Amino acid sequence: MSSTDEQKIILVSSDGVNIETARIIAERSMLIKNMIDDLGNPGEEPIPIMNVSEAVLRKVLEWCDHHKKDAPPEKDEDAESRKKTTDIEEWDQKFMQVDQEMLFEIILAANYMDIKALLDVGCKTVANMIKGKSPEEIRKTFNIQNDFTPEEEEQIRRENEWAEDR
Amino acid sequence: MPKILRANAMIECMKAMEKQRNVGCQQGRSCMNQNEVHHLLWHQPDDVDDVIALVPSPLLEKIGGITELTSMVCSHLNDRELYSVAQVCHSWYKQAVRYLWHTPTCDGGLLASSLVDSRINVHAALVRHLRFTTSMYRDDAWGWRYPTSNRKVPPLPGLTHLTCEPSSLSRRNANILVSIFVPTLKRLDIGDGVAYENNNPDEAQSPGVSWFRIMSSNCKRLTSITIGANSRIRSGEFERFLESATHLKSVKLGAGHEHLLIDRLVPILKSTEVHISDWDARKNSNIYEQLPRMRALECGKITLANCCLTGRDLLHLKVLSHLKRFEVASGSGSYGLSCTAAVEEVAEFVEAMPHLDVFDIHVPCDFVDEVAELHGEDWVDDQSFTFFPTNACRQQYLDYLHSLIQDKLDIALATFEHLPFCLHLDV
Repeated sequence: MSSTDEQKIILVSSDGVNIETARIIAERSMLIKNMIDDLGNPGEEPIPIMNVSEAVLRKVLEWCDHHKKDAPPEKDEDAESRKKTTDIEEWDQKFMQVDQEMLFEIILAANYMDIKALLDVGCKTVANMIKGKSPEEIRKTFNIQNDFTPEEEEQIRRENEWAEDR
Repeated sequence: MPKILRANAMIECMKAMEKQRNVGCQQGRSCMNQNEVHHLLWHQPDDVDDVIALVPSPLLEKIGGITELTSMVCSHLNDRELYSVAQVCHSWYKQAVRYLWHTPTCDGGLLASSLVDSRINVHAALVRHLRFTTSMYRDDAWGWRYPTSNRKVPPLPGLTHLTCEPSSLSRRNANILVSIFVPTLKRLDIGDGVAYENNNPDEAQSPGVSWFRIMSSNCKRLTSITIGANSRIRSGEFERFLESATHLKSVKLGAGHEHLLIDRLVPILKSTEVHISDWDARKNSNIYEQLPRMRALECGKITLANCCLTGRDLLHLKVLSHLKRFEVASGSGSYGLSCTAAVEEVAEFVEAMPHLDVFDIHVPCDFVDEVAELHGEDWVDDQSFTFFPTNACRQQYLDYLHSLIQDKLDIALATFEHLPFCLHLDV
């Protein structure tokens, strides 16, 4: 193990709690990695993670610890291309078995801390919650207000109905 | 700015943003555009039907408001699910419809409905990957039913990837071809026998338009092109196309394109299927000389007719170190075909291909027969295999080949030991 892997750094959550972790774990976050690269002396100064509370930050670091040896994600050339799979590996499935509040906190934290793979797992989990549901059921699941007029609803159905049978 | 100052400035900036956010929350302000706020509850209620007043939750509003996140969720949904999501609310509609129209199938049904209505250009601009098909299969006769009416295909200004399924370009008119062969196209996959009727070698007798000519003149930014078997593209046209397509990095050709294996193609050809019919002819043929020069080749298939693949032939191709797939098959109606390479030569070939995932010599191979003969009755059929990965991975296959080499050696030594006399070489 290299000395970089053993290095410890301190992260400060939004509620002011210091959390010590290994640099290799924290660097799954591109936000933290870039800050460490810029600071040059990791470990000397605590790194504030402004938008993430202690509970969520600990959860995110738990994920980073489990995935610390994963290969870096490949760059997606076509951002709008379909991923076509919502398969989530077993450990991640268990990790995501949290209440909706924590799930969305994790997604927001992964987005803020720039952890693409965790963000991907979070979005797949939400996608799985949508699968097999009608528009009304989706609204109920996420408590979304229908802001379409009846005419708009009819137009959307007409224009996209080809997708219903595929 | 020095790195340390840049990092400190970033931290200060984050602190300031956080402070501002907290102040905003205390004053009950939302950072979102009010028009885009969809009222989401934070907790999933036990009985959602009982909810009368929808309470906005700042965190969930935020997720719905971050386009990137909604977009990522949509990227994991299929068409049917996206169709449901598009009907949920305005903000989800915006994201879902982008994915829905990213890859539509442009068949007769679709042309007749959505694409011809008043919002044709809105949807056409969203299309990035088009699978271009013929109309539905005709029930009453063999063959494909072509559109009889002039269904309008709008220009697709954002199209980057076009997949034309077999025969899909036949009997199409120039307007349709101009709509799909747009300058933004980067990847083109053409199925087998495409535009069969449009490529009559005698142009004077050909009533159709040449899809290849229209594509060549419009699609200058292509980076990848795959052409299925028997496209009937002429070598002169193909050479002119390669001259103008300066961004092209990958070409894959199906069977029946030996005449297109020209010098200009050598550095970018990734896949080809060649038919070799005669031993003497192949020795002098362009293909035999060209193949080892195609160093970028990842997939190669050789169809043999009335000739054998020798060990020398195999080692001739050893320089193609990027090969991932190598197949040898027999042409239709061929007989007496075999691979005469020795097991040592096959092992040398496989060892030289570190990325080889598929290896299949689908003709009788002397190297397994040879060992079988040496073993006599001890040999079992399932010990003879000439392909992977169905039966093994590359390394296992190499181990198998080395075991055959060892068998040959052992049997040869045993034979030598049992010779009835000793040979003394006294010098």
